[in-house]
Amino acid sequence: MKTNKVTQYLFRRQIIGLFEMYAFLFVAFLILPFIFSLISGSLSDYSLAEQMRGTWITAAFGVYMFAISTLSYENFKFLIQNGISRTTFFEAQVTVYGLLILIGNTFNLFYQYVVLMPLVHAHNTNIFMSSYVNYFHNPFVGFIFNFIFSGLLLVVGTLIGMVIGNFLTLFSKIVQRIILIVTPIIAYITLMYTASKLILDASFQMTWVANFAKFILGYRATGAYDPFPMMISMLVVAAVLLVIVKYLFSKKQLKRE
Amino acid sequence: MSVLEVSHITKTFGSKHVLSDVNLTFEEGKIYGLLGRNGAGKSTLLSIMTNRIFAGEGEVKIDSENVDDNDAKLGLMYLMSEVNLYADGWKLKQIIKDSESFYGSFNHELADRLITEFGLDINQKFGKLSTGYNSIFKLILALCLPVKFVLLDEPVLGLDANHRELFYSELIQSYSDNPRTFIISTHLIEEVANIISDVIVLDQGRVILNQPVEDVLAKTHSVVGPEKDVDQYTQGLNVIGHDNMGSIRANYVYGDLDDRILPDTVQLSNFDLQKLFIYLTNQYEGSAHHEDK
Repeated sequence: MKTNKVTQYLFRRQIIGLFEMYAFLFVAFLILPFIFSLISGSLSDYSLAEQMRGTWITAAFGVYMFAISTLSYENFKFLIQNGISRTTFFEAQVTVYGLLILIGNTFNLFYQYVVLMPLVHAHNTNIFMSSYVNYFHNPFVGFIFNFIFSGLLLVVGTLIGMVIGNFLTLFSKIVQRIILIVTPIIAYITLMYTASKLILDASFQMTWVANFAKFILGYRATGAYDPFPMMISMLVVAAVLLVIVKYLFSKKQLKRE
Repeated sequence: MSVLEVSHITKTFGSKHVLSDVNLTFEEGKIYGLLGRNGAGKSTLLSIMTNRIFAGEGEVKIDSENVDDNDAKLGLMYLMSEVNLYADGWKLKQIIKDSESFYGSFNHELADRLITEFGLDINQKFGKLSTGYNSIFKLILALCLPVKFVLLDEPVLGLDANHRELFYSELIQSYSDNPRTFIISTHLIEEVANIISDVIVLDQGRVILNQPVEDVLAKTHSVVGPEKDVDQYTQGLNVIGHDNMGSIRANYVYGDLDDRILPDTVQLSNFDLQKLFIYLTNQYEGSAHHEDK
């Protein structure tokens, strides 16, 4: 097995992409507004703290992970050219995404606790902080669960990206385009149909959906939400998605282009 | 001594049968020519052998072990083909470095010499290469990686005559320095006829010829003379084609001749691999059920 070599190769390529993304965001969100303020003569209105207040830095990592996880065909082509099996690619790719999530999640929490909270007094810096943190009375325990909860969210997001990306690579470019066009249309029609039924048909209540969502989200009428149902659900979903991704990797093959 | 075995490989694309029950054995230290007309299934077979695509049925083994999802066995092969599996934005140097890390080593000495001889700029990006240099770069990888089976699918695509000549001489040199198995799929039969030791002809997804070149050529007989005498002499033999030049006729026979007496008016000689290929694949066109193993 050449898993270590493939892991190193994928990690090197994808960590460079992560740094490039942060560099781009740094320029787009901090440097460019500063330059525009300078050019337009409104430098007094420019506030570094204000620019950093948004949660774009933490959100960007999630978006990056989702985006790269949908793209696996380029790597597959290079690896199969070099005699690397699908199983080794799968194991290495999962390891690399795990490492990236560990790094990105650590950076995100560091940024939240060391930059956002003390400097710009932000509190609702992510889903956990806005809905679940008060469930824990000890701030350190809250921090630990913030790390686990955010990490699990990233894991599920990444695995969803992998399922979508690897599913699409099974098809030709034409079929991929058809799927990408038809799926949102079907989703929109389904959503509209469900919404209209809910509004117009009194017998069509679907209260079980609301109740199930409340249970998963750990909704409580008073006080902070309970994070454990959500965390356990994410674990289960992640396990199921991982099995699906492994299956999809085993079906990868070169397309006739 | 490694052996690459292809057993009962079948492949269809939609309703089209591309490969039908293909059985082949590639022994170490030989140079095979894999010949076939366009759409005969050569590239598909090579892609299946290297696990790039899946066969409908059958299996590929190296030393009795299935290559499917098997790093150890897949790492013994390198397929150079016109399909580009390297990203356009990657630098050639980096591709070599990464390929070396996966295969474990790389013959830098040979690569440096080939880079100089072919005049390849190694600092370029892969996507910037012309068709010819694209082939040259992949050929350099194929010759310098430490594999036991080098599979070349249309290796001289886009190469000018000088570079083709250079490639063939380097291929022979590389084989002589480090004997391993080469499988060369090409349409340029005349150019490889003197290089290959064994010839495999695929026609409409079936193997119609698989023998050492020497044995094959020994079975080719060009019977030339007056039409009546030639037809009489070749009666009952496996005539795969003919030419007419005025009153002179040439019948091309593939197979062993019996002890019939050769008339004084008729001349007998061998014909080349390209002619055999043309007549064999024309003969089997539309009625591919003969298999010569």
